[in-house]
Amino acid sequence: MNSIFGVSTTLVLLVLAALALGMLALLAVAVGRGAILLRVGLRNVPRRPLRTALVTAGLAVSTAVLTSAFTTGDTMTSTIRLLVTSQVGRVDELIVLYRRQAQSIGPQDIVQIATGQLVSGSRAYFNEREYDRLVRALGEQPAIAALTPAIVEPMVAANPASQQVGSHLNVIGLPSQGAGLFDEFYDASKRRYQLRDLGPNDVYLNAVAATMLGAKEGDELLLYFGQERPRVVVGAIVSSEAIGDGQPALVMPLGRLQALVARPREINRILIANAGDAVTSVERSGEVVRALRGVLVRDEVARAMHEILHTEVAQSEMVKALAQSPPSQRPKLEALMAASREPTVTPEFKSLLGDPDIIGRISFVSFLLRGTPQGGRLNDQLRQLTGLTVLDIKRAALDRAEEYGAVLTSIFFVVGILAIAAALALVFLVFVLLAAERRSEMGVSRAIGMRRGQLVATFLYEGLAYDLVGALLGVGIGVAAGVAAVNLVSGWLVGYGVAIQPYVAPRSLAITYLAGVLLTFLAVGGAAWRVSRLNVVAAIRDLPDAPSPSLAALFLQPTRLLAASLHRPALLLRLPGALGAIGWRLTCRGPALIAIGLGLRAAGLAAVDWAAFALGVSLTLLGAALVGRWIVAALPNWANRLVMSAGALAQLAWWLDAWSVFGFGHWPFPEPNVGAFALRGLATVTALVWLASANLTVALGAMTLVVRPVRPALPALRLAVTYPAVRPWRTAMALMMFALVIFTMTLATVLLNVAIVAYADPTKAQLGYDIRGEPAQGGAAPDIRAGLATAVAIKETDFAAIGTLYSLPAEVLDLAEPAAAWRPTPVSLLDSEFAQQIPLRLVAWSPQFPSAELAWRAVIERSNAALLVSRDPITTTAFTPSIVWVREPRGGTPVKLELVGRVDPSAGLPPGIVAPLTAFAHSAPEVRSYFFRVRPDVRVEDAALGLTLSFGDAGLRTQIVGQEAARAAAIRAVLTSLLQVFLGLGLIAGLAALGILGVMAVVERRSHIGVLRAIGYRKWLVMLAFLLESALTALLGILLGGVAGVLLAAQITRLLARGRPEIQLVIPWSDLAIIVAVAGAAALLTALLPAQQAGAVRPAEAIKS
Amino acid sequence: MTLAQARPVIEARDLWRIYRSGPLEVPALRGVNLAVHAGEMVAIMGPSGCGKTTLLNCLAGLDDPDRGEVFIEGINLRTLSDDKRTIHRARRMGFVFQSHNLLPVLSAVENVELPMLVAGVSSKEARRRSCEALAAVNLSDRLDHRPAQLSGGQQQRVAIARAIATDPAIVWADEPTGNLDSESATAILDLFQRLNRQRGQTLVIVTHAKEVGDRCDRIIRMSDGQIVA
Repeated sequence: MNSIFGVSTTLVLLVLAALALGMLALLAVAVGRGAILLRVGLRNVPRRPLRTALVTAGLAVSTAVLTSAFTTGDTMTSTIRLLVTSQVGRVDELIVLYRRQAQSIGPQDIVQIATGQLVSGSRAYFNEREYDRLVRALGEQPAIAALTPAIVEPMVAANPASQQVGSHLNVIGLPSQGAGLFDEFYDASKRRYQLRDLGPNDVYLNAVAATMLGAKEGDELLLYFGQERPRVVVGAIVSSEAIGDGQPALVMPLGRLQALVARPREINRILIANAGDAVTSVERSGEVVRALRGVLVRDEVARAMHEILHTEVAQSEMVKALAQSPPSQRPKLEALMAASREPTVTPEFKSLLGDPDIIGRISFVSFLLRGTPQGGRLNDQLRQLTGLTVLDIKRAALDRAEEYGAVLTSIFFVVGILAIAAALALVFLVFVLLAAERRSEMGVSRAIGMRRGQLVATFLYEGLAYDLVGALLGVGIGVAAGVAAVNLVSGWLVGYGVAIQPYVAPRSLAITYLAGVLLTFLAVGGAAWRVSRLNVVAAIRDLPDAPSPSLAALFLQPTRLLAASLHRPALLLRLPGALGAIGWRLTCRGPALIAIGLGLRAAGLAAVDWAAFALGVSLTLLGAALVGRWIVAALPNWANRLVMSAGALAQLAWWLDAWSVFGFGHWPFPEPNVGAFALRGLATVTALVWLASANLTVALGAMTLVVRPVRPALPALRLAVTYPAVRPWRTAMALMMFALVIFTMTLATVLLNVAIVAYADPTKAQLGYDIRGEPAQGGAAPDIRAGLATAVAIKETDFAAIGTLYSLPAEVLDLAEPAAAWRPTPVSLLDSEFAQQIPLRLVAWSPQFPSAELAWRAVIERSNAALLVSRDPITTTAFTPSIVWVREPRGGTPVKLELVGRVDPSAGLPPGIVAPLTAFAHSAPEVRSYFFRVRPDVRVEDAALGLTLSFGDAGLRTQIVGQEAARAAAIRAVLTSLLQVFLGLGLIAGLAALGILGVMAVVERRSHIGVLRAIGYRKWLVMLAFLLESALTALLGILLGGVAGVLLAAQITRLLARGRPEIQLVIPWSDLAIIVAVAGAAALLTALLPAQQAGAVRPAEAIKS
Repeated sequence: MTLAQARPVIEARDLWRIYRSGPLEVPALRGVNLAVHAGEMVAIMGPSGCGKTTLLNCLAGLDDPDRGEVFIEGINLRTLSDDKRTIHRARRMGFVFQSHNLLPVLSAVENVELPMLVAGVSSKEARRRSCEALAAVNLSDRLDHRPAQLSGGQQQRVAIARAIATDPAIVWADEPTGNLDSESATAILDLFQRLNRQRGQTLVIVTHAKEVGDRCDRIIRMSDGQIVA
């Protein structure tokens, strides 16, 4: 993985290494000035082996979470890279006839890569002379290792010997001479074969195809080409690094395949392998693509385009197009603008014209220029451009793999941030507890002359020892957990042809180790600094710390120092400390926080920075609450509780966007990324914990109602409630840790459920059909009904319904628009069978219809009613009907349509208009897809094979929709499971925290336990007290985390649902109940260890201690 | 019936307690025999390390002797399970320690009522008796104060109130005045004496302070794990 959150991982590693070295250097310098401190620090490590083990385990947790995030990301990146290599082999670039859909590789292509469809997608033929022209024009190109014409055709094959049939076999035709490395095949014994070695009727099969057909060398295979059934003989079972071994392939000489498909002197692609090996060749892709595009774009077209784009009016429209272009395409368009400003056509300009992204942008410019002479000419030239195009498939796929891995790591990282926050809070708390335990020792140390900084240093040395080992342990645990998670889910994907191999890059390990060391070191440092502020006498005598000096005294201190410095100038050195103390006090009391918050808010607004704005308002609210507490400090406790509760509620309202929920307005700008949700989550949990802490007595009291009826348990309950209540800060930290973990689990579970409900419902994706068939690009669609009447492999009666979806490139005029004009708009047309059998779901409809069903009925029955497909936000099911005119481009007869509703965009139809085919009876729309519903007594797989056998030669490609949905659902399930396993790590972090805090509490309260045992607490009662204390904390944490998770999930769903009506908040209560039950049970089990320790304390020894 | 004829409320027979640290064995008690009768106020005295606190722990059932028997009100502690011994402790004994050993998170009255709650007394009754006990030690005005808000003497008086609140037969005190100034120490001893006389409770006080011993009915002197006088 090369980047995380868009930042280079190399840079991250360098920065972390520099920080770690700096940290070690500082500590080394400190050791040089006092080795005794190092000895004191290190000798504390073996004092209590169990505690040392627990502290180290706690420190390991945060590193483990980080490492598992990276392991998962690296694994996914590596898996996709391997998939790409196995599918595309040495093919770095493809030249095919222009196909707009081929221009970019999206998330759905991961499935396509896995199944080989990415390489074999386009089948439009072109003349072989284009290849000869290309070779001549290119001349000597050292960056290209091999360039060959080819045909790739999906085909059905049967092996009579084994009675096996393969329905999606790629038949590849390659020239017997001059194909270079594409003409190299090897069998299992590494014997080399070439196409010229084949007999007149022989073919090569790869291992996947041989397995699929149960074929061996010498077997006769039957190929299905239309009415022809040519027979071929397996010459050898081979592998080919050049064409890839990931999908079933049958290779034969190009000439023979041209004859079989009746395409003499025609090919459907040119394969290019760059110089280098399978891994490094992709580095030359840019160079090769530039060279190829420069050749493929004809000079006269380039000159004409340059002439048009060079004009002032075109330049001005390109500026407008630039503003409306997606960020990823802006650099290319800027490059085109620069090249078009040159006086003549440059190689760069020609190369850009061959880029499918640029063609799309130029189309947009031509739309902006409509009505001008330049617009018309540009349109004409664009048609000339849409010939052969270069697709740098390997680079695009590998980029996608990188991007996908980085996105996955980022998502896991963001989810992990909360677990890491919990783990860091644990580290901080552990060290605070450690220091509290050693308070009197620290007091004595200070009394005999140790300075505060030295006290901190001893803790840091001790912490570093735990830290270095803990982070190493964490890396190990993280890798093991990541690998275990990947192994756990990889088995599920084997059936879909996707193999996941765990992989973690050494760079990732170094990053996570260093990050773990630094993060935990910071937490240790913070804790050490906090506890070093002790009153020596109070510490030695174990008394409460003396109150801090008053604010007035603090304010007077700088004046006193200034006055005293007149006699002793050295006192001026104390001035920054005195001013810092004032600043810190003002921050703690609120006024400084208000000022900082207001500043941040203003900065956020100015820089359109969501995080700064949100944090600014939050800090202002926090400051106001603290000021309120300061004001009511003298009043009874209820006033303080009231103010703090109000502060917490204000935070909740802010972060959960409460006023927007109730319709009082929106945030001034949208949230930028998932990181914003992590911030919101952290803030929401913090606010809820704050609210609970302010009302801890009430909250714990309410929770004790469950136990109260069990009278013998009352003494244990008294203690279980009292300890957390009198130490609210510590309790809040423990609550925070557990709540954060449960929060992430709840949030992820609810959001995954929302996604599954919205997108993973197969009935939505397949529109109620079983098989989808798509005609070949550029070819005539087969007449299915007529074909079925004579087909042998399939009968018309095998199907319950056959629907046809047509597409019509059209222009639409809406006279109600202020600047009404004909605009290009895709129109989908449904034949009557489709319309009758499959009701499309409407998300909004005209008030003239009482229900969506009646609106749909109107579309079927009237030939002038239509529907809109749009992803624009909707807030109501009421649809304002409108009249539009639709015509075929450039002057077809206009048809008047009334738009009466909007279709659910998840139905998979392109944005535009949906109308019945009868509305355009005079037009000749293209068939986009056939949809087949199979009768219940017919196997879907048999029907699909029958369709392929009958119509495969006519260009029909079939896809079992359920399988497609199942495959997509399986991949989604794998990712979901990975995420859930990852979240499980967070739960382990929370449980570790609970256990460690429990054990530390036993150590801290050892003498108390002794007294309790002395005055009559039996072992089980002491155990119960500890168990209840942990259970109540865990339960309250689970409750807070769960509530925060559901609240934020509701808010995120509400934001996501804007424009996506298919997204609805559906809370998986049963899943949440399982989380609560598992977390609660696990918490109780974890709490058993400290409880058992507490019960085993021997009273006589404990009292003495 | 004279004191000598009555059955002792505390009886130790040939008590041995040996502390082990690796191969090293340190006998803290070496065959101690002892009898204390009901209503007695006894001081166990001796130099540091002579085994006073160990003896008290063994007598009170807080620690198990390696050899020998302890009888409390005629019950052999060795025959009791840990649970039964704890219940017996809760109902029949009270404890006062040198460092007060109050639970810092509980108020004075909550600290006092804790043993009663353990013994199964209702919350209401426990609160009533706690208030009485605190009144007996003159701390009625400090009921809701936490230990950190009380002086050392006051904390020790709370500890005494906790010890007597269950109306135990025996009160064990380990250096009860060790952490107190002389004025507070005198007040505590006055309190012990008053309680002993008014309630007839048996008091066993481990101390190395002569003035404490002087206020007791009897002094048991120890040296090297044995009773010497």
